[in-house]
Amino acid sequence: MSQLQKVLEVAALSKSYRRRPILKDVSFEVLPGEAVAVIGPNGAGKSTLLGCLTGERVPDAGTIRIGGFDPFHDSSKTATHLGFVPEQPFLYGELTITETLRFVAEARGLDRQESDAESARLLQLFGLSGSEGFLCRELSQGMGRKVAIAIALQHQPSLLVLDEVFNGLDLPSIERLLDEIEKHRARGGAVLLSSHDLELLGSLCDRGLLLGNEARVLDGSDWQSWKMAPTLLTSSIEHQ
Amino acid sequence: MTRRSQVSLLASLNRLRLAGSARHPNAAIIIGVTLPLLVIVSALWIIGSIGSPLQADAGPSATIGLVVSGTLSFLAYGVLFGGGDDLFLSHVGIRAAPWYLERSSRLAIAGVLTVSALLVPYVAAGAPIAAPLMIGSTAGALATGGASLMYAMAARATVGGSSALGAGIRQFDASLAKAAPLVYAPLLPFLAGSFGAAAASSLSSFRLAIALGSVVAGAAAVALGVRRFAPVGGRFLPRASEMKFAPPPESKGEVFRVGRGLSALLPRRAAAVWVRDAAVAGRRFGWAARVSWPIVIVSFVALARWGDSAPTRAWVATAVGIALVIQSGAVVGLGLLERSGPRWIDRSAGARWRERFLGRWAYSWGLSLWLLVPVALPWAWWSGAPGAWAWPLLGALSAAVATTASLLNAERR
Repeated sequence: MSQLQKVLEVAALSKSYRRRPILKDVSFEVLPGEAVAVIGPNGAGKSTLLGCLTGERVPDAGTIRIGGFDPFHDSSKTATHLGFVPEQPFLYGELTITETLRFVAEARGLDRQESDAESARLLQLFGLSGSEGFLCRELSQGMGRKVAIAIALQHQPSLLVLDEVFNGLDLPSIERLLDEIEKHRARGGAVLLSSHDLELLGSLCDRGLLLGNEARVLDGSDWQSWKMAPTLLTSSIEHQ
Repeated sequence: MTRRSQVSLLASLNRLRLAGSARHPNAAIIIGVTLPLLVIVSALWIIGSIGSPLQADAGPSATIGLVVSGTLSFLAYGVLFGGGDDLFLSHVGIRAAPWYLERSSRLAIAGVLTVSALLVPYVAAGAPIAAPLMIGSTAGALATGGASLMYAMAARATVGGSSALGAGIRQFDASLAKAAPLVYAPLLPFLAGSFGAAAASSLSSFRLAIALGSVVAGAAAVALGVRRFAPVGGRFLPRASEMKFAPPPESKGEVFRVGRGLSALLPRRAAAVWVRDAAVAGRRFGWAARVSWPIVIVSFVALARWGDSAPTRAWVATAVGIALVIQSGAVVGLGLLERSGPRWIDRSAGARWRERFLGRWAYSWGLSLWLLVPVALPWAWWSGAPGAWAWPLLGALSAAVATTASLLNAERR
């Protein structure tokens, strides 16, 4: 498989905080249409890994390529390939939902009519129709997360990175988000997601990246075994 | 999207955010932002009406340059790299060059506001403002351009990780050594602004030419800074974000004690808020306490030697006023910290608004007393001017304003 076909490529990634190693020599790839779960106990480095991939944390060593681009050298090109929902999404409290989505569409250089239509579709999908005029500071945690999801999906990126995205969402919204993820994958988009809902990850993802004392890619029979007893296997890492 | 259109998009974003606050004003915005501004402007007006040291000297002096360039050099890092939306903008495709240009424009606006504030005493005194305006503009333009360029170069050096400036401390703390260029970056803009203003002050015939030349030089320095920053922005901004993380202090066996000393006078929850605020502010805003000592020492000497001179007393009053504003900044900063979440701790502990107010006010007043009492005593002994007894009361009032602003900011979303 050629380099360009990989949506995400991570090689020998390491990251420490004040001399405490968090990620050690992490390497993996994500291919078009794949959904990969990032799993591990608290403090294993899941959010740190996702932060490195999305340009929020600078790795100490290693390389990252998203759609063939380095997020630290070509951040604006990476942005066209990446949709990211952080665990604690940032929104401008002084802007309304519509203003926020329009600003992001302009920053991405999207067609105004198409992006307005896509934003309206996403807002309707997540039950935010009628709330477009709300200031973001007035939104609940769940509503804020839905706006962040709409921002991530608005430009139909090739890679979706979702950090604890199901937190604070009601059940219908989770189901609609899962539908959107399936449509995204059907278009050839890839997904990398972390969540504490291990059952959901097991049903949604094709492979897993288990973080702990060392990073291990779980695929094939390893992934099937993990899906059989996710809690047991993940907590065993915690107590190593 | 071109760089120019991204700059105009960021300008529109700022307009929208300001308009959003104006369209939906709430008490927090009015009192948390407008009131401190009113306090500062009215204090400057009073200084002008009673005759400030600037008025007493022979015309506008280079002191204006020191104040303007010092303020801008001090603010530059926060204005350039302290925004909460830096990484969000990067995620949505805003490139480093337009981003840095927009942040440098914010610094220029801060310069315009600082110079405008310094003109208030002149307007209040009915004195001509052309000369201080030109001197202040010289300092502001050079400090803005210098800061934009120097911080861009510091960002490059930080990302490169091989600066000679941090060589002496690399063996003790490698991450601090990497950030050394950022520590030294404010020096050049401060010196450039100060010397430019001194030149504009002493060469009165060339004042306008110096001011215009400084504006051109400042704009050129900003343009150069943007070019220097653009290639490293993607790597520097996450580093700047990581640098905001404050590691927990090393334990020295200290125990969090509530109800000892003066805190025993307060209700238990308010006392807990006081002790907690003192601990947090001491670790995050240590400068708020440190700012007192130079002013106390200089004021003591000045009052002992020239206490009967009105300009000396005006200078002491101004310096104390500025220190109080700085300390109030730390108290408001506590509220801003809480906006990111920790206010729920007070709520879950059952601390009511009045208890939080009382505890924070006690901390704030206590902080100001370390400044006000050591200055009020020599003022009473040597100046011959009345009113020293009122200084602690002024501290109590200033603490109340700062605490109100702090708690209202904590409630903003």
